[in-house]
Amino acid sequence: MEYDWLSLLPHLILAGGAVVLVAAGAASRRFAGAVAPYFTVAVAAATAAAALMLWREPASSWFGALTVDPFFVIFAVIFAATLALVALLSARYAPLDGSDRPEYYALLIMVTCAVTFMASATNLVLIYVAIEFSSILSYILVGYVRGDRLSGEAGLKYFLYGAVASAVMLLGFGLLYAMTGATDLAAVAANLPHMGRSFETWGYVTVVTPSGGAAATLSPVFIFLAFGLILVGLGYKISAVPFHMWAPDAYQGAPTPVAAFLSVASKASGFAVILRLVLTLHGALDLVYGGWTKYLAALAVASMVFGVVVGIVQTDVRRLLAYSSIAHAGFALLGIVADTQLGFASVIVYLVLYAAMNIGAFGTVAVIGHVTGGYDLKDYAGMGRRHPVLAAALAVFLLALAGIPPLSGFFAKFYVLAALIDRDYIFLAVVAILASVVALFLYARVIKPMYFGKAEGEDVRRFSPAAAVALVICFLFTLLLGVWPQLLVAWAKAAIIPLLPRI
Amino acid sequence: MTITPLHFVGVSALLFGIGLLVVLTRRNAIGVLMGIELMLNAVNVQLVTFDRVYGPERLDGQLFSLFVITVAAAEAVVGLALILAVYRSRGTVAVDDLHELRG
Repeated sequence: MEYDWLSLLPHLILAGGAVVLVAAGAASRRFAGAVAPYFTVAVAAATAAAALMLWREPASSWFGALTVDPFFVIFAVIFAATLALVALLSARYAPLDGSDRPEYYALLIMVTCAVTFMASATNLVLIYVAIEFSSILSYILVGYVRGDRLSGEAGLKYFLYGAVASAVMLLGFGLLYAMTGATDLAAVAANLPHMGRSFETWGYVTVVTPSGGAAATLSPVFIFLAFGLILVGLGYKISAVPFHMWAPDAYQGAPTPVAAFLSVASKASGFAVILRLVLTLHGALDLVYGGWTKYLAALAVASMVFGVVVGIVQTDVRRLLAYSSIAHAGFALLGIVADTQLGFASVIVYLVLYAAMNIGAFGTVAVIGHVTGGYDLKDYAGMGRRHPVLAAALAVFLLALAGIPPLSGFFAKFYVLAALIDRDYIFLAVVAILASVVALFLYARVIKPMYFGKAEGEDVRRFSPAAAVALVICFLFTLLLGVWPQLLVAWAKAAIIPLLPRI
Repeated sequence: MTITPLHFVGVSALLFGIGLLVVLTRRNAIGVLMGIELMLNAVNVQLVTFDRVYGPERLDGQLFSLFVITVAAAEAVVGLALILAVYRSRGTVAVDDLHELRG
């Protein structure tokens, strides 16, 4: 079998880039620290270019363990773009002063490598390893600020929640393996509907017999249990209620550019795994009692309602954005609940548009925090007069997150709702719209003091040109994709169609 | 009495349950970490059990368990480093004392 090494290039560039940066850091700390952000941007650009080159290539599979296809390409580009923007935002970010800079960027590149593996993995072993790879690096990044009490606390909390959630998810993977004798997703999908091996059998059994006997009466319970356990780990990754508890703490305690990365790339990677599992195991999922979409819908509604309601009472802007990102995870999940081509495509569209506006929002908060030293709603009073450009940018990003029409957030929500209404899920659509209306109040809580509050306090620092470049890019995407989303929808559909289950 | 895979599943479930109980009841972060390790090893028992059920020519289960052991080691390293960082700044590793972040 011939292997197409070119198809591994996006992964290899990221892994190589991180190693080079660590080596450069060991050779000359001053030099490596100075060029690290720009080197990271170059690595991200090379990764995106290598991924885009593979767009028209036929999907190539490595031992069935990972599959490089258009679906992977779209996610790899999201991750690479996130990496570049987060690197620019971190370039002069003051709270990171005193921590090791070259290693910070190396970790950022590595965690991007991990999430690209999550988008390409099609084997339970590799999916598990990729998820843990990205989680473990994220714990380090959240707790990266040396000597900072909050950063350390956030890192440890994130670690404890994450390690338990992933252990539970691993038990789900173990059950899937126990039932099918395979770790390859395609083989799991093929064996699961007629798993007939009795749990009483011992010794070497090589033939899969059609269902019958004791195992047949056990199977629905175990299939339900396996998918339920896996959902715990993936729900934690996308921070859906009730697995969201870590998100507000981690986003508040982490360096804010890292929070931007977690809320965009980490979440998107979770969705990539969910989409792959749902699309590949579609036939097996139908065996879940009462229909699997019902359970995802419950998760989605809980996330949207809880996110906006609890978010409204927050006073720290980073916590407020964390609850907003929980609500957005719920909204995007609804696309999967629709269970149609448009539904799955709308999730990808949602993630791309959400990436631009959410990095923009977190980025502006990071820049304002850097300049004024404050992250509390009180510190935002009068920002419209103190920093008119930053305040206007933040207002635009927040209105985009709320889904106000000319901006990209509107189209993100529009396609998900269209998919829901196509399937006559009117109740879910109404709940989603109501949650979006309430979310407008959430964002208004930040916008109001900026324009109607009295300016207080002095600036402590000037903001860096690198961060400004990142914000301008996010701003252009938020405006342009709102005017012209058709191309993106076409791409998302092209990525989804080859994966759709043949029904 | 013959030993069947179901018995191993029972042992694995018991270990996992004990691990979860440790995670939920321990106040000390290192204790919680030990509970997590127990949960991962419970899954390993299950993986190698079914590796034997499915025959000697396929090694998916053993392979999976080797990866789990490696990941568990990496997780323990990072976990202990974070616990150490928190201990240096606060002088305690009790999970209940992690309450400065709230809204």
